[in-house]
Amino acid sequence: MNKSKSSKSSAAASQADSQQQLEKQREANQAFFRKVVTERNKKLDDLQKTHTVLEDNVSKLSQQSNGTKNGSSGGITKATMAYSLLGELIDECIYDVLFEAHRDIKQGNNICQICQTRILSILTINHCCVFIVSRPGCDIYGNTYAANSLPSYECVGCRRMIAAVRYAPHLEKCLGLAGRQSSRVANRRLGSASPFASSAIQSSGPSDDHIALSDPETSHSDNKKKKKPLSSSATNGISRIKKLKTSSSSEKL
Amino acid sequence: MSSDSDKLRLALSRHFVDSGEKERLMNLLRNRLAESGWNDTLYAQCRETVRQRKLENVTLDELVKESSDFGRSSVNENIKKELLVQIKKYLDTAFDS
Repeated sequence: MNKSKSSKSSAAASQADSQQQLEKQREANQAFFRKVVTERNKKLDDLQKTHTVLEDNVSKLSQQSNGTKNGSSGGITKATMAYSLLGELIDECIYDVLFEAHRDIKQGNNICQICQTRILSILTINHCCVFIVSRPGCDIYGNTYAANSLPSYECVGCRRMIAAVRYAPHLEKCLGLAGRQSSRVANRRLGSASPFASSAIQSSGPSDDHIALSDPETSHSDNKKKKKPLSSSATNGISRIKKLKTSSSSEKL
Repeated sequence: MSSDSDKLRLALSRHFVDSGEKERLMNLLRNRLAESGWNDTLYAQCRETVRQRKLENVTLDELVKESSDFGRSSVNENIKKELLVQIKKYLDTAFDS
C-alpha cells in the first residue's frame, strides 16, 4: 500500500516537473518569436521610409533631368551614377568576404599539417594552423595538374584564346613590352609613330634575351596578322608612359 | 563604338579613383559594415549555403551567384543612405570643376 502511494506521488511530482519544463520552453519560444517579429518590423519600417523618400525624389529628378539632360550627360542622371558607384563599392566588399569564405571552405577539406586534424564542423572559424601542402608534384592546396589541361584565357589585346602557360609571354609581345621587334609591331598596330619605340626600349631594358627567341616568331606574326586596331579600352590601363600622360591630361574633368 | 555616356562613365570612374575619393569611401563603408556585423552574417550565410547544398568543389563564381544577392540586400538602409550622401557631394564637386 505504502509503495503504491509513494509511486503515485512520485509520478505526480514528475508530471509537475515536466509541466514546468514545458511552460519554460513555451516562454522561451515566445520570447524568441517576439524578438524575430520586432526585427522584421524594424526592417519593414526602414524599407518603407526609403520607399517614400525615393518616390519623392523620382518626381524631383524627372523635373531636373529635363533641364540637365541637354546640358551634361544625355540620358544619365546624377542619381544613376551615384547608385552605380555605390553598387561597385558594395560589390567589392562582398567579394572580400566571399574570397575569405571560399578559401576557408577549400582549405577546410585538408588535414592540418601541425595538429593532424581535419575541421569537421563549420562552427570553428579560426583554426590554429595553416594549411599548406608541401608534397612534390602538388601545389600548396594539394592539387595536381598537367600543363596542357589548364584552361585558356582571352588575351586582353588581340582577343585570341591563349593557353595559360603561354599567356604571359604572349601578352608581352602583344602589348609590345618585350623588346625591339614586338614594340615596333605593337606600335604599328596601335597606329602611333615609331619614335615611341626608342623610349620603350629604354623602359624595358632587361628583355634582350627574348629577342633571339622572338625574331622568328614576330616576323612570322608580322606576315600573318592583319592589323586589327586595338580597342581603346585595352590601352586605357596599360598604355605607355607618354600615352598615359597625354591621355590623362585630355580626359581630366 | 563607345557612346558618350560610356565615355563619361569611364572618365568619372577614373576621376573617382585618382582623386582618392573611392579609397576614402571604401574605408568608410568597410568600417560601417564591420560595425554592423554584416561581414559575419554574410560569411555565415555563405558557409551555411554551401553546407546545405553539399557543394564540395564550389568555385568562386558559383558562390558569387548564390550569395551576392543576399549580400546586397542585407546592407542596412542607413549605411546606404550615408554613403549616397557622400557620393552625391563628390559628384557635385566633380561636375562643377
